[in-house]
Amino acid sequence: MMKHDWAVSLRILLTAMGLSFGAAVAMGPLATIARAATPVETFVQQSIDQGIAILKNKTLSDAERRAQVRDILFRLIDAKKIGLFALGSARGKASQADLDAYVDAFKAFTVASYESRLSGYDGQALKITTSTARAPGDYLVTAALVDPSDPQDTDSLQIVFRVLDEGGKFAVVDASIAGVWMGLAQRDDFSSFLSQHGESVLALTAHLKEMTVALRTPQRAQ
Amino acid sequence: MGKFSVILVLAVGLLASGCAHNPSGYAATDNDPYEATNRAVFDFNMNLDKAVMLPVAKFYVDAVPEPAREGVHNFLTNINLPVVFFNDVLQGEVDRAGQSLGRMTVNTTIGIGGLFDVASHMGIPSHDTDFGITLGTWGLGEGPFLMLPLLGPAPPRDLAGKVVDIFLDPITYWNFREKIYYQIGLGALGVIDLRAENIGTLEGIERTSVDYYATTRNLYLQYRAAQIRKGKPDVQNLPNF
Repeated sequence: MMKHDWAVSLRILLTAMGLSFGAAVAMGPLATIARAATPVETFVQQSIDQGIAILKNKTLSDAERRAQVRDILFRLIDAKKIGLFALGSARGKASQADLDAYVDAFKAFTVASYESRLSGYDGQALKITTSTARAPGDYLVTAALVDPSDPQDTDSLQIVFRVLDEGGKFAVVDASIAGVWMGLAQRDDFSSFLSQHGESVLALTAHLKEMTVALRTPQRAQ
Repeated sequence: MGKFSVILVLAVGLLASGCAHNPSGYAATDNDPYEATNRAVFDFNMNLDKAVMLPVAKFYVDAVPEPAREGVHNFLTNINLPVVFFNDVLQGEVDRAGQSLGRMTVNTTIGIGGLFDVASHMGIPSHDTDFGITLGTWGLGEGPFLMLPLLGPAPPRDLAGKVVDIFLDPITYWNFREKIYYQIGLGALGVIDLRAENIGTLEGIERTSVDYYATTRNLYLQYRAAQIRKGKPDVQNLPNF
């Protein structure tokens, strides 16, 4: 009979694609952590709480909401570091001016990507369960996705945030959803494009700009 | 047929084990020697999806109420549980095998033939596995990435797993009249259920991917590797940012 492994993976990735580190702002309020939260856990929790407050604030205009989401997103993640990582080996071959232009385009693309998914938020909560330091200044913060309509759900999705301490300031640089690291997937995505375009960061930058416009263009009803 | 399948499995399995093992899916591009062909097949699959599967799935979503669709999904999941159970056993996962057996028993009886997922409400967690995962648990590499017409991503290890899973399914050995129609119907329903559940998923991935094929490949490989680790992320081999 037909196997459903890919179906399951896609179903989980449905959540994954909507909840990668930046989209954490679309999650529900965090459950209270029973034990004392570590500073890195508090950082993730507070960022998400602030994101929720934005989503719940019905007095905001779309433009205001977009600006505030962008603000909280860039306080949560290190977009420059993520973007440069996604370039892979092409990073070393590009000029500083090209890299700067790319980082700007990447940030706009990131915001547009997450904004396009915010409408998918339907009340999920995130419960931080633990955190570990895998190296000095390099943390893994584990959280479980909780469906508010079924808080006893035994199949909750596990999300792991990779958080770096950048000179006293925490920043998320990757997130694993159900074992899939989003940053690694993005690096493969970008590397594949670059390999087909002569490792041209300029070409990728132009493409990201086009995609950003497309993401901000409302889709036709199908 | 039995001998043929064993030979096929061994052949494909050896092919897989002889190839680079990429447990974390970090550099999927390095394990895709047939990329040009795979991309052509991917394009074919996408065109077929847009022309046939997506419209059918959207019609299914529009025409069938959500509770009924959920029942269909539960039924399909439940009927696959014997395969999951046997693979749990082969992987030495005693607790998971117990969960599969418990879910099968509860959902088939109280859940009226699997239409209702009573087991989840009773706190018996669900999981999915297959013989491709079993081979991975035993240490076999996935082999070169392959994109197959209609089937989608299926590296040799997973392809071998799909074949073996047919023989782990008790229905394979149950002969009854109209069996062929039952199997075709079940297969079609499975495809529609799969596509209907993931309309938004695929749309989202496609819209935010620079290279949709590369993203699909990486997500598939990483997810399969995670399944072998029983859902745990790889935290040992993380790159430097």
